[in-house]
Amino acid sequence: MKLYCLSGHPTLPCNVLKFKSTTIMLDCGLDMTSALHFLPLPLVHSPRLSKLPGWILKDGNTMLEKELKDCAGRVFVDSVPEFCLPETELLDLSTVDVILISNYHCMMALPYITEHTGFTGTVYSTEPTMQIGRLLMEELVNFMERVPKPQSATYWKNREMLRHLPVPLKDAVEVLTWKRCYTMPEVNLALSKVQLVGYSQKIELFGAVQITPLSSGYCLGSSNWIIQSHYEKVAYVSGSSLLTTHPQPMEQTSLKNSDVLILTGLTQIPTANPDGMLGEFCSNLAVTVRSGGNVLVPCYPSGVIYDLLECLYQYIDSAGLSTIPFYFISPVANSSLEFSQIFAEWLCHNKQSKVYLPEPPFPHAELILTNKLKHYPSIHGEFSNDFKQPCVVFTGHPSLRYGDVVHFLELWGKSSLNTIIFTEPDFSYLDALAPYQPLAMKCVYCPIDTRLNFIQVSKLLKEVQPLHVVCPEQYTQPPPAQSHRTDLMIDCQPPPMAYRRAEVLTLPFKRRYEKIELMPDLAESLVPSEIKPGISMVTVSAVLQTKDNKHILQHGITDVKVEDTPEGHIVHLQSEDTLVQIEEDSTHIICDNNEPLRTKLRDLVLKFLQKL
Amino acid sequence: MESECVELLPRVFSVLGDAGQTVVDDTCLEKLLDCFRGTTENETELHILQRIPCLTNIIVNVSKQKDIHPNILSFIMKLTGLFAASENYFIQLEDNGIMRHLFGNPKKLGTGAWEEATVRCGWLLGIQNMLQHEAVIEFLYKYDCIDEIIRLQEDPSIFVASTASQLLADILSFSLQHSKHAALGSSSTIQLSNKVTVLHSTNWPDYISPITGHIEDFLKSDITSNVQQALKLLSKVSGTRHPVAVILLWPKIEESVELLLKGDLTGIGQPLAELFLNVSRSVPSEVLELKFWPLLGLLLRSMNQIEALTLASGILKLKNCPQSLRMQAVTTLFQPLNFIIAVTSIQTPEDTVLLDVSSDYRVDIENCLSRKSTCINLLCQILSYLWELLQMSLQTTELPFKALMKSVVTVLRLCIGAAIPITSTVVNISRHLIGCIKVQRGGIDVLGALPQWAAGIEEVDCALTLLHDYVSNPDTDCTVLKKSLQALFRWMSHCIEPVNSHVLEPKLKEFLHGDFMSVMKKRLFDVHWEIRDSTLEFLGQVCFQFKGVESFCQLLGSCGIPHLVLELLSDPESYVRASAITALGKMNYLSPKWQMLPNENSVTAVKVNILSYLLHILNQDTEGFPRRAAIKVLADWLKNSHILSSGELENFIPIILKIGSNDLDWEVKVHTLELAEAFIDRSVSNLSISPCAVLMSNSTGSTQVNVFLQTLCEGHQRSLVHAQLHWQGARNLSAQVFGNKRYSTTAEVQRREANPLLDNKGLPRFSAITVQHIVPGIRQVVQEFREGLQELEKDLDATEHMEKTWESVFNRLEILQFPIHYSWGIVSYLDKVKSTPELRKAYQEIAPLVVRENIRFSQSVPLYNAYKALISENQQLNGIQLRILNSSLRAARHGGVQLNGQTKARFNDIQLQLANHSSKFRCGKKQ
Repeated sequence: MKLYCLSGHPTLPCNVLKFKSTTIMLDCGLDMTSALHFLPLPLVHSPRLSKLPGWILKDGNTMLEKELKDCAGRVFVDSVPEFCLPETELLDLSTVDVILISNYHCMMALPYITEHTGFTGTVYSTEPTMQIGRLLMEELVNFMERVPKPQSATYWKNREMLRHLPVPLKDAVEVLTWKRCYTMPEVNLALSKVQLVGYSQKIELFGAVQITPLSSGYCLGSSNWIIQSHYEKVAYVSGSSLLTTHPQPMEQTSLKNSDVLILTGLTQIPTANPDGMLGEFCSNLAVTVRSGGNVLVPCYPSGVIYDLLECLYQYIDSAGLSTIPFYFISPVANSSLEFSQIFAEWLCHNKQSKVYLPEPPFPHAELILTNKLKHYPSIHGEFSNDFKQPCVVFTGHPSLRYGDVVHFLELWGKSSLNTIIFTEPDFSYLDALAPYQPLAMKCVYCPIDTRLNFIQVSKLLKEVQPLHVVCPEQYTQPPPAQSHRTDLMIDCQPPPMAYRRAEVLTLPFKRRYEKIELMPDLAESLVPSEIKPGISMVTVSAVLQTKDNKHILQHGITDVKVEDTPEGHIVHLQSEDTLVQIEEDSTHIICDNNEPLRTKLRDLVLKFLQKL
Repeated sequence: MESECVELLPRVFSVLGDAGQTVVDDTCLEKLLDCFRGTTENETELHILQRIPCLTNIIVNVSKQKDIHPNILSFIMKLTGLFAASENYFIQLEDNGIMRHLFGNPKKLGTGAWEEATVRCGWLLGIQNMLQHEAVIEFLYKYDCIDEIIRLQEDPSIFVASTASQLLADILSFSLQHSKHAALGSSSTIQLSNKVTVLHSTNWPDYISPITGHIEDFLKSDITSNVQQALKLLSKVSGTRHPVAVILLWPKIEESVELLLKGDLTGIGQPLAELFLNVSRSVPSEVLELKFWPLLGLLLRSMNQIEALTLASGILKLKNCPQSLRMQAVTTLFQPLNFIIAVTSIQTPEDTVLLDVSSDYRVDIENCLSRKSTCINLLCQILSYLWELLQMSLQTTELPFKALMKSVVTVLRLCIGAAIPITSTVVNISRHLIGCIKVQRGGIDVLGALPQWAAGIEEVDCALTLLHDYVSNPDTDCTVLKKSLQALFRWMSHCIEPVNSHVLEPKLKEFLHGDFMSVMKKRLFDVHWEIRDSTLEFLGQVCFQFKGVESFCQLLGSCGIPHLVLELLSDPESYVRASAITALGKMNYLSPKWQMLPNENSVTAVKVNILSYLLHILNQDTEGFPRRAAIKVLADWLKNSHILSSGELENFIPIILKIGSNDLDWEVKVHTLELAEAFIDRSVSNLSISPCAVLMSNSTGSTQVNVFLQTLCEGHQRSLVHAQLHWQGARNLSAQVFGNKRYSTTAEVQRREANPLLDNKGLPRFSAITVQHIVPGIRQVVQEFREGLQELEKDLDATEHMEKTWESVFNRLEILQFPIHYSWGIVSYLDKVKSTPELRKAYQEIAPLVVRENIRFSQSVPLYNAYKALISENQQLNGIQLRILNSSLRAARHGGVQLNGQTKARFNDIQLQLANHSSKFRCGKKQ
């Protein structure tokens, strides 16, 4: 049993598990932090960005001047942003049988894998994961395609050049694997390979293993996976949450007794408590709006935004903000808000029960109804007519490199009255803001990450008691910024096995048992004898047949008598009335005109004799 | 005991004495006992036995029965004990042989009922009850009962066991007190010491030697539970009425106690500590043996950490203990903190240790700290003891404050993960402590108590930074935040005290000019209302405290906080609104240099602005707290008008008085009166006449006040009619509703002083109210109510065709009803919670009067017509007023206002009967 690790990002995992005769890909997350090295894609022509000076090598060489731009002391690639793909060279991805998706954030690399590697298998995911994943991909493609960039920088990726580049570009990982975004047809093709599953549904893979998705509590439709054969069990835990936000709570009991537990997708900001951050978010928002400023919240179109809106729904009256407009701008804003209301069965209990009242499960429906929250596909068109300040804008993309957020940063960045509040933890806010420097706007960092923190993990591990834990290497030491916080790492016995990008782990357990079925007529003919109270034994001679990874014992030639003679042995097959005489210098097969049987026996005997 | 009761008793006892009947629930027996206990306590001679002969009968009869129910037997024993507390009766019973039968050693008498725990308990309690004279002791000695009591200490029923040990303690202390050698009544120290010496030289009374022997034996025992038992018994002796007994015992047990102290303390540490503390608390130090204190020191040294903490804090609270022991207790208290400092500090250890002696830590400190529950428990205990110590300012000079400060700061830093651990021990500790609210609370309390003790520039810096971390941390719990703000306030005020200000003020300034104000702003808009509330409270306090500090005023004016506070006046949570109002009120005291809103230039304009906000709240707010806060602030401003130059405010006084006196909330009314008072004072002082002198000299009041007001208002040229009218209204309120001392007539004052039941100007004076006050008091208020109602009805009739106003009907009603509601409320409350036969009698006597008056009130036709007129005349009534009106209408209809003649009479009759029955029922239940 082996684990191939294709991604180095702990919360955007991509691993391949070889288990029995199957090859299973666990998630295919796309590391989008690479986009931070690129200049933002403005929706409207930005004189500031276009006037940035080109970057010149130390020796005065100007060959990269067109591709790299200098902004406030940092170098950015002036091209369409590219993403860091999972490792494709480590194993032949066309041999992957299935891909299991745990949540919609971890499937963004799907088109790259399914469309360009010869993949012929199936993708399994829950319905909300697929639908919201599609929204995320759609949004991404939309962001990229609506502002076409004529030029595409490639020269800087040259190995020779890379060495001369300044940090952090120099230290960027796997630059050569970086790819531009996929297209909508590719997304559609990739998603057509998805097979929808429900929580706790058992899916047989070639009779060899059984896979089961379990609720993981992190977002709509997010799941952990159990991969088990009759005697082995692997649990894949990715992006789980024990907080009671909107999704169905995490299912823990089924994770018990696993031989290996693969643990990814823990919180990225282990010291920040989501509740406190939510409060911080609200009070910062109120203070800004109160003093006449605007608030910009870069966010994904689904997930935490539902909780933010719900929190604001309760908060705005108490803070006297009921007259302040909230805008949600995303190409998929409408679908996201609508989708959230129809996935009732994937929601936590109290939201589910609202459906029977009947009420919409999320209060943002009411915000929309009362015109407090308005949503638009983009800043063009209707939005520009309705736009009123001061206001609060939720829009993507959290990397601040593409999407409508770029426009708002250009618009509001110069005034210190305005505030940008970062709630998505996926991108370092300092890096995200780098190409906008100097920036007068206030920045507040309130990352809200509901995924498991280390205290919860150690509790979970104590409860489910896996024999071995496998996790990204980042989780086996304290975070680099807080090296004294040894409580911020996974601590279990035996110590967890760590993996890093492009590593192959041999998982530490041997398969020792296999289940074999007895055919009923064979079973009937057995007469066990009791050797000890409670234990009976019987010897079985039968034919083992293996098909589709299932093993079956059935009747074959069974009644054999062996006689010793001075020269050798005689094997007597009674039911066939056949003798096999084996002596030192000769072998005879005596049977009654049954030529096929004779040839069969002859071949067998010859085969064994050769082995001797 | 009432005669009705006495009549009932024979029947009750016949039921109890009947073996055929079973008593399921023995709580009624307990009640009966309580009743008798009350009677016997008041009577020295037992008249009750003569009055109720059946009492003796049942004691005699039941004790002779064989197969009696254990509950009843137990009851009889306790009852007999109660009466046998009288020596004569005891002797009488003993002569009858009843004493021997009931209380003689039951083992020897072979009573079968002895198997029941309740009987054993009854036996013990019976003896305890009668333990008032020496005859009892002799009786017990004679029948070997003492041995049995000693044995019962190990009874399987814990009630029996604990009663037995309490009884032993009582016997011991009683007999030592009453023994012929020490028959001195007083307990002055000289006599005591004499007594002690006398006793040492003579023999013990015979009958207590089994007990002392038992104690000595058990103290020497190898079995922990036996030792525990003996120690508990000794502790109990020191807790009895004559605690000195334990000193008499001390020489006998000293040796064994010393042995115990030198041995293993597992399991007996707690009782030992309790014994020592009890003894040193209850016995004057002159009498204590010289060896006592060293022994206590030895105990403190050898106990484990957690138990030692309790003992140490107990020692520190003792007034009479020697200095060395005190120091040892301080060391014990500090050691764990020392340990934490030592393991967290990067500097050389000698720099950080709290006390020089503490280099050798208790072994179990590290143990304690390594487990989460014990670690938190230990720290919480230490912190709370420290806090207590800091509160008792007298004895605190001996504490090493700087080091204490350092350790508390370290612990608090560990709690938010800000301290950097070096060793694995600290990693563990910090893992336990991160986010632990309990420790945070305790630590911040201590920190808040420290500024007066340890406040060098370093400490101030340290404390301010730490508290800032706590206040700005979004994960800080609401209560912790509140405490942090309080602590911060203390430290900040400390910085501007004149003694320190030259050194500390720059530090404070630096702190305030950091991002403190932006944190405050954020907190003002916190999601939790508790945090908003605490922040406002803090800001108000700080503004008031710093009103003279110019730099602060400028900072506050420029950062926009006042503006945000104004916004919070419309917070949905009423507490927050109230706090915002109070904070604004305090901000008004800031020096005139500060500017409220950037776009408004003149300070007065802003103040008018705030004023209009306050008036709006006073007028419109649906909840009481904000209105109370608003009127309080206004009154406060007016009182301090010499500082505030509140010229604008005065123009609004008539309006404020009008709104305030019409308010339904009584606190608002009180504060309105205060405001009026302040206004009068101010106006009068402007005319340079002493108002108090004028007013106080006129007991008849009103006319003089009117005249006075008129002159005053003429001088004041503005709104004279309004002011006067409303002053009148307010005065009426004051006299009738709250009895404001200064303006009410002396007659009224006297009346209230004579009858506390009628004193309705604050909370009821329950301790002063007795049964005797009820009948005359209620009669008086009912009388007043009746007269008032008649007057009101007359007025209403007279103005029947005129338009009614809310004020003319309901304000008068409110004034009319208040005294009777108030006083009658007290009576019915007392009847429910503290009923006595006398009270019930008074209640029954007076209740029909009240009921009748109530009926009259609800059937008052003029009132009913007035309600109807009010509702139909399309008045501008608000929601609350409408609701009151509607419910009054309904009450009148239900009260039978629409009935006539025969039906009305019948209805009233039923009402009265109903009231009568229900009051009888209640009395019956309570007998």
